[in-house]
Amino acid sequence: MQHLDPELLSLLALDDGVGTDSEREHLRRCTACRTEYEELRRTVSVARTQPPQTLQAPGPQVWAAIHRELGLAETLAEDPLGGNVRDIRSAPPPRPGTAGGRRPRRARPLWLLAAAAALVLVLGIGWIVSRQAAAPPAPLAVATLEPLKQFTTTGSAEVLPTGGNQRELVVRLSADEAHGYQEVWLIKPDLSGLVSLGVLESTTGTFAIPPGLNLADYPIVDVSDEPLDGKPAHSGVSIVRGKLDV
Amino acid sequence: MPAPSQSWSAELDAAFAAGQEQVLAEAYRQFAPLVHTLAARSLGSQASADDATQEVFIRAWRSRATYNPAAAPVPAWLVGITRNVIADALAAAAREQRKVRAAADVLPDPGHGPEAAEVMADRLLLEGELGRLGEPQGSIMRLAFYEDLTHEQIARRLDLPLGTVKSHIRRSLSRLRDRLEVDHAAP
Repeated sequence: MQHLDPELLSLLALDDGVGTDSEREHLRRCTACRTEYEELRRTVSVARTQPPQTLQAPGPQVWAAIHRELGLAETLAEDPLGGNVRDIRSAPPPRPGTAGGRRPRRARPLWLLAAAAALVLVLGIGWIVSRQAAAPPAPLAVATLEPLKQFTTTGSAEVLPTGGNQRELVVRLSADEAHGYQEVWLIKPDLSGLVSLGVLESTTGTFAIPPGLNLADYPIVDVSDEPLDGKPAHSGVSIVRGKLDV
Repeated sequence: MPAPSQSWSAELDAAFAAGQEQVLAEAYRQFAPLVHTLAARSLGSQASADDATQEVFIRAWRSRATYNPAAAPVPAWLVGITRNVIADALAAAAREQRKVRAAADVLPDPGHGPEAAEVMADRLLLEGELGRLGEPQGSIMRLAFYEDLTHEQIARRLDLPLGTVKSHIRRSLSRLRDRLEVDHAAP
């Protein structure tokens, strides 16, 4: 029998529900196909690995030690995690990245002065930006979240720019009414498509929006009540929902 | 704590390689909790995890000259370093163990080891690579990975011919597999 089609091997690795009995039998016996399949299978399993849902931040002395050991600039002395305060919104990130990539890497001597001047400018702007960032950036879109039947929670959602064309969704709820856990989704108006942004652990949370996702296509913000059943799909039970004004 | 908001970009990779200290602070803000959690799981104590986290970021900064943005995004590289730091700490603990012949229960749980960090480093590497696949490949693979859609469902969802979806899946999955075989070369 000839080897399995590479497309079929990929779909098998994804548990696509494809393949006949004889094809699966071939996979069991053929070392070449089996090796290829197992490599693809590991790739799928790595991609589907969930990062730990709850994280423990290191104590403030850890950054202090790093800062001291590496002799970093005095302006960076404060713990980027905000010391003992764990509210991630209260520690706006410095936004140094935008100009950094353009800085010439292997500068000729003539460039050095300009590069140094540019660096001072970049750092200066970065410093000013990081100082000003204490005021949150203006939202790109907002939504009012209304409870669905059997729930009373209300809330709001904001899309904020985070630099480098990235966006994040900040969700704030009046309560956590989930029987299982709360999951945040962006959904098409006709419910034909949905994107999971992640688990909302308390009443507020911040979620990265996939780059390239057109919010006009997925304007509905939805927080669902998900049972711990291992099924990645939407449970069908929504706690709150609202439409972004995009 | 929930995961800090994460928005890492290729620009930040380049700025890290170029030695901008602010980017180290930003990497710490976004990824120190992940590094610390992976270390705590493998090493079993908060104090050891604090030490490991400190070592990871110090090692990352001192080795930034060997960091290659084209090979891996900074988050994947950091977690690769975490894996090595955990392995070093476990080896040191085992040496200490042999020296003192103490009871086995002070050894860190061998079930966790550095493997969790290894898988997480690979996952972050893939996440970066998904962004480089372009469209519609990136969307196709995200739907296949994270929403468990079949190729037929993906074709309907994205309104693409079935054959196109299948061949994108084959090529993209092979490419992602090839990326995992490249060593992170983390210090």
